[in-house]
Amino acid sequence: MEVMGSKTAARRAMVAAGVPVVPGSAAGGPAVLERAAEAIGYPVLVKASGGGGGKGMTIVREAGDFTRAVLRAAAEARRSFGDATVYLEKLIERPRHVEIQVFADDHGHCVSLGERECSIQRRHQKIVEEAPSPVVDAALRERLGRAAVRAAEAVGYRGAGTVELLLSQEGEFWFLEMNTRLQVEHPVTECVTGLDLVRLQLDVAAGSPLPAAALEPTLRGWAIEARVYAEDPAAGHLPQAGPLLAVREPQGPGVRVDSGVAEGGEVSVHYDPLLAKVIGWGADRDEAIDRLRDALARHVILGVRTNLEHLQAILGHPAFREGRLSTAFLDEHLSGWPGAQEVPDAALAATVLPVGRAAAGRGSQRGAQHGASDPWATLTGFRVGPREEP
Amino acid sequence: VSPALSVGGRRVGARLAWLGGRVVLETADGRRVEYAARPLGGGEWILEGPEGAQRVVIARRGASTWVHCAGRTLVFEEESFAARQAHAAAGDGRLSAPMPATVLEVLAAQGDQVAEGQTLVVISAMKMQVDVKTPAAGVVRRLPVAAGDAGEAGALLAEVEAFPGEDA
Repeated sequence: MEVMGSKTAARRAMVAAGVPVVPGSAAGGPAVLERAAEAIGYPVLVKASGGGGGKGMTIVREAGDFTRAVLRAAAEARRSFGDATVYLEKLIERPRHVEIQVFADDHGHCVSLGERECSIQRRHQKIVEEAPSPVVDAALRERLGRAAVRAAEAVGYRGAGTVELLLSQEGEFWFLEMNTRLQVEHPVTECVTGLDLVRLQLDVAAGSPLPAAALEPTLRGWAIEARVYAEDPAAGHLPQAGPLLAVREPQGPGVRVDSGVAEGGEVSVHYDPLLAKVIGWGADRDEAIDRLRDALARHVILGVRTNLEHLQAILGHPAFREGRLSTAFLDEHLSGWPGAQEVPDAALAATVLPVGRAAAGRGSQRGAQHGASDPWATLTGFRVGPREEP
Repeated sequence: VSPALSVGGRRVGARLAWLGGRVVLETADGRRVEYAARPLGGGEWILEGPEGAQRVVIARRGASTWVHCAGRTLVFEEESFAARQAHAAAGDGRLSAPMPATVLEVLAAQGDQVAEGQTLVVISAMKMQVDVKTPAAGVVRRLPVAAGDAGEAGALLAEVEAFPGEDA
């Protein structure tokens, strides 16, 4: 865990274990780096040692721009991070983000439980994850699994871990990092393997060996998870806070909801705005998409803005249906979302429905709940035909 | 009668009535749609209309009405009286009746210089008395009503030419 906690130490351990890592260089001056760039092949990323989370990176596409770009990147690194040290990494264009769930016990077993595709991201955070990946066939799954197990064994890992890999459009892959914990997206692996990973984690920690079902896992069907956030996707995914006036979670065959909020609660700005994870399982990918999309459409959260509609738009997009995924998916396919939208008649009609105790009795005019402070608020209805006598 | 609702800052032009178990909607483009409404409790309703039956969930807080309908979540904001009056007077300084109303009192005359927020006309609508105020200081150019006049929604009550530099 210690080794994997440091990106540079993890990288060294992976190189030693024969796990492919994204080609890169050690830190150095422009001349040294330029020779390294020739060896790696353009395009390359100039990264600041002190950077992270997508900050302190410059893309260089051609040798002619190299020296200028490195000097500029170093100057910027000094300004932003107080350290001008920069190094190189090969730029993988439109990569897929695939990760392998591994599990190791104290009895010499270390297994891969298959991959998860986590390419749909916003602000470098995953929002839709699935297992298996639409581009990984049995042969590639075998290779990815072997590499991930080698990575975990190289550091003597125990328990549940996730080996993150970048997968190029051509099927090449490189080690990115290892997460030494159960991850937010672990339910999709549970759905397709039938294993309870939380329970396995506790059993393994208590010294039990991995059960036969985990040693010889069989993948069944397809599972997709969507993360429901309190955020406004139309405003740069800005986190939202507010009261949870109404919450109704979807149910049904192949639908699972892991949530930590309830009606009457409050979404505060002080916590992660993840409200729930909705997982759709199906015999195949199409059925999983249909079930998840339908579940998201039925998921009601009122009082705070969420990304529920944005998630439906992702799942409904033809590129998603065809499995054409990359970390640039949202920029390429949904940058103008939501565009102009009509107000459904029924939604408009719903605004005059009474709420609270009034809803149980006979009809009342809208505005009865607003008090008399604003005279116009009580005058928003009109009557058609003869007045109904109660 | 305008319900004076807006979604995402856009005004929704429609007329709505709750008739106890029924909702009648008249859209801005003149369509008339009727729904039968059945409560399921907790803000949940079944609306039966031309598109068939569908579930809606509603919740209110302050001037906001949250509606979940057909996979979408919409937030309708009710405009305050002041905002609507400002809207009615937007740009041209025209103050008009927001709904059918009777004029109770006229407190200014054509040619008067008036201050921002000054009441020009008092009207009565739906048995309530409402002060119609000018949103900007200026000169009253027209005041075509007298006490006792009855007018439809949109009838002109007064027109104020704002002083230069004043926002109407």
